[in-house]
Amino acid sequence: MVAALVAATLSATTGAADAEPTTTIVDNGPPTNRVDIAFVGDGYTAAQMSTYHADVDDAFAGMFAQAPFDSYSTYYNVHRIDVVSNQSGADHPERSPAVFVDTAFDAAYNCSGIQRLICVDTVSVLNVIDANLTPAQSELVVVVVNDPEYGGSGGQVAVGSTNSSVIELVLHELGHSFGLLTDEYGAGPDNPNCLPGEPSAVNATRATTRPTIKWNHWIDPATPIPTTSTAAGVPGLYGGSAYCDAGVYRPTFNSKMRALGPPFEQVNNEQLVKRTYSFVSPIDSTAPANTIVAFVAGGSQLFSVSHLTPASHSLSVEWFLDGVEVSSADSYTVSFDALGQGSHTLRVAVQDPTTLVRSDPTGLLSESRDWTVAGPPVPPADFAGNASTDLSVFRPSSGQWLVQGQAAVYLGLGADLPVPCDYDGDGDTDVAVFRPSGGGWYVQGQPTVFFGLSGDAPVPADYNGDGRCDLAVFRPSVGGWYVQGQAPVFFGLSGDIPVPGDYDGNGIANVGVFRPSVGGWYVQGQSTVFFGLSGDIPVPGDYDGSGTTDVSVFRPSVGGWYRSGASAVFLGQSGDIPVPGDYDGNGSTDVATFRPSTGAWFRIAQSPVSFGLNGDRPLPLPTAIRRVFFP
Amino acid sequence: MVLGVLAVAVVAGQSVAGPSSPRHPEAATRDLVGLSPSSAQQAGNQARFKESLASQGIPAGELVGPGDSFHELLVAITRGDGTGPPTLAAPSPSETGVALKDRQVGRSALQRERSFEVAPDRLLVVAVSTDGRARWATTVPDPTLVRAEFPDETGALSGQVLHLARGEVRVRVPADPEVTGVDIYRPSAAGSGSAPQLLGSIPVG
Repeated sequence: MVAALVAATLSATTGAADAEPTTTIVDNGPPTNRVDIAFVGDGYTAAQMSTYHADVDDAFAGMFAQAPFDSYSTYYNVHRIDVVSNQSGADHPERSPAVFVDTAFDAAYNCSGIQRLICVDTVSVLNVIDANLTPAQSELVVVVVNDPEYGGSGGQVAVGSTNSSVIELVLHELGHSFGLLTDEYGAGPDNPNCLPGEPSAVNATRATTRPTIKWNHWIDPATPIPTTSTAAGVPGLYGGSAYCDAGVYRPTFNSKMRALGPPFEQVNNEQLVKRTYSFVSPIDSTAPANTIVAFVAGGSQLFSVSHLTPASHSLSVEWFLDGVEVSSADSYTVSFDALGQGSHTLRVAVQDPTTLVRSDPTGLLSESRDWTVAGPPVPPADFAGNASTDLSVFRPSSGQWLVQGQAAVYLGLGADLPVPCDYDGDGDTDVAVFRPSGGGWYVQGQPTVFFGLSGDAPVPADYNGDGRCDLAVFRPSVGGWYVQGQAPVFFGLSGDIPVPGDYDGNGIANVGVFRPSVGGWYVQGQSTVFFGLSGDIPVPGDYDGSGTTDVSVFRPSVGGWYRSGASAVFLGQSGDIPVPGDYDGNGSTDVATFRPSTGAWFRIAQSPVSFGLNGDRPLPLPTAIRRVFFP
Repeated sequence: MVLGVLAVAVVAGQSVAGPSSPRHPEAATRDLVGLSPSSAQQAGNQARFKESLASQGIPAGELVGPGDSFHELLVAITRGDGTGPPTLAAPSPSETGVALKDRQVGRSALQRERSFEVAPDRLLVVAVSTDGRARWATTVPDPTLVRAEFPDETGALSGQVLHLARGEVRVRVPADPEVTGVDIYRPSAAGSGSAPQLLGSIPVG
């Protein structure tokens, strides 16, 4: 029979098999996140297909009736492929006279001269599997042989006859092929199957001291080591395993890896659950799909998780906003108004709290997903993080940053351009300069980054909606926008003034330019707006508190502030630097000017405040605009 | 804001933000799509795989993703000339041959387990790049291994593991440009903690 087996293997073809009737008889979800078992039959004639169907139903029903598969039945899909054999049964070359039948996979008892060992043409089986199922639909393959005599084998595919022991046999084989468990019995003295080293299987060890025993977390301190008890289901250290009569130990006195009939027991159950999670994530999907979620001002966003549910218990779901648990439901709604300024992290963590697993060092039983969500934008020059603009200047002569009510900070040199923005997403404006000579970005408390060239205009803003300012430059010579981590965008011409802002209110800064020669506002994705005259200073801001950046200009000659769709406001005079900002913290941009000659700040309905000197650069106005009009 | 006095770093270099060409404003496009959650999940799985490979003494590079197609290799594992009776002892690597019998390209993403474990009855399959670093790994059943077990009247099992002279197994690895070869290992008979034994390599791509 050995010769026959080898001949069959050698002659096997690698060609594709025909499509056969295939039925998904248990559909618990997408095969990409389930364990899929494929059943095929051998020795079933066309007239016996209903018998085959019943045999498969019995097999998987029996499997899912036992632990741990009963708890995790919802993690499995089952497919059945109907392959018709010309004759019923299997080969019995050991009988007298020998019996040979014509079957699809050439199942034969007495394989390798061992009477109850059934071998099949594995290559043909896998050809049929490949022709009818995707790789994700065939993680486990079981061949049911239509013969009532006990027999089977394990290997690439699990093979079992229709003998009453088939369910136990298949479960035991799955313990090997799926659970990577070893047999928990000895195989006689000097058996070459007894290997000399520490077994890799989780259910066998040569260790004899508690801390080094793989399953020590299951052994009660009162249980003696080694263990001689014959009680069922008591984890300990029992002699004889992995084909070694002595020197190798098993976890329990008996188990399904030692005998047909008993349960798998604790250590093997734990492994089978973990192996299930080697294929299956506890999370099926999450929504929304992108990990960076930008908000519309005043809106809310529903976040949800779709997770698996074991048949026996529930998975734990926990939502964390900035590390604080906020919900244990399957969804969570984040309200824009409830978020503070800056960047926030929302995490959903799903974990299986099953008592079947006590040790999960690699975290197979848990999975988490993170989103970055942005709260309301930080107002210009809000160094205090109180949602209002601070009177503040950069003094180039000394590199001094002066913020009303705060101690001075020194950062930068005379030729540096101040680029205050919330780079770390913590809800306040960070002190930072851009050094044109080398393209260096120096942000307080952060590593120096070189991004940009001499001649570039720094235009930091939140271009991806994560609540953090991104390093970005506008290169007038080519109209190029370079945002760190993003592909370059070419938008604008030489002579244009970059005016990035959230013009569509989606929480993401739009690329945009103001073209003084025609008073044109060009914002990516939006219609061109002509608003303003040559000599006007663009002062984009959210003047009406709507959550969108408004097109607006300051006309120095008359001190006029003009906004599309609104009445003009007059504040300031020629020579004043416009410094729009949310000074009162009400969520809308206020008109304001800084008068360099006196260091006075002017705001509507408020007395002037003196803060700064001539030569200082007021910080609320973006550098890319200021340097054009007040170099 | 935390205020303090900072020294200004010396400019040591610069980045070149890239070539550019002027275009009309309305013609510009950009992509602001962030990482998908599935990408984040893959990152977590990568860490598990790298850890598992490191435990086998196999250096890992950046693991490739599942892609949209895969190589399917039909590989013959033979002992000697591929004939002879089954044995109880596993053949040594020097006795073992690996040969490519057939290859196809599958047109779908190749799912990878969230982790993998080595086992005596499975072969470790490692897809490598030209630098020899692992870019993908999985295990497949050892096709030369047959387990013959039988219960007595009480259900107690006895049996043995047979090693055939020849077996064929399907191996699937992503059809990624980074993947240039497939190394096939058999776990060491010396048990866990011992480096797996390389049986052979198959070029792909």
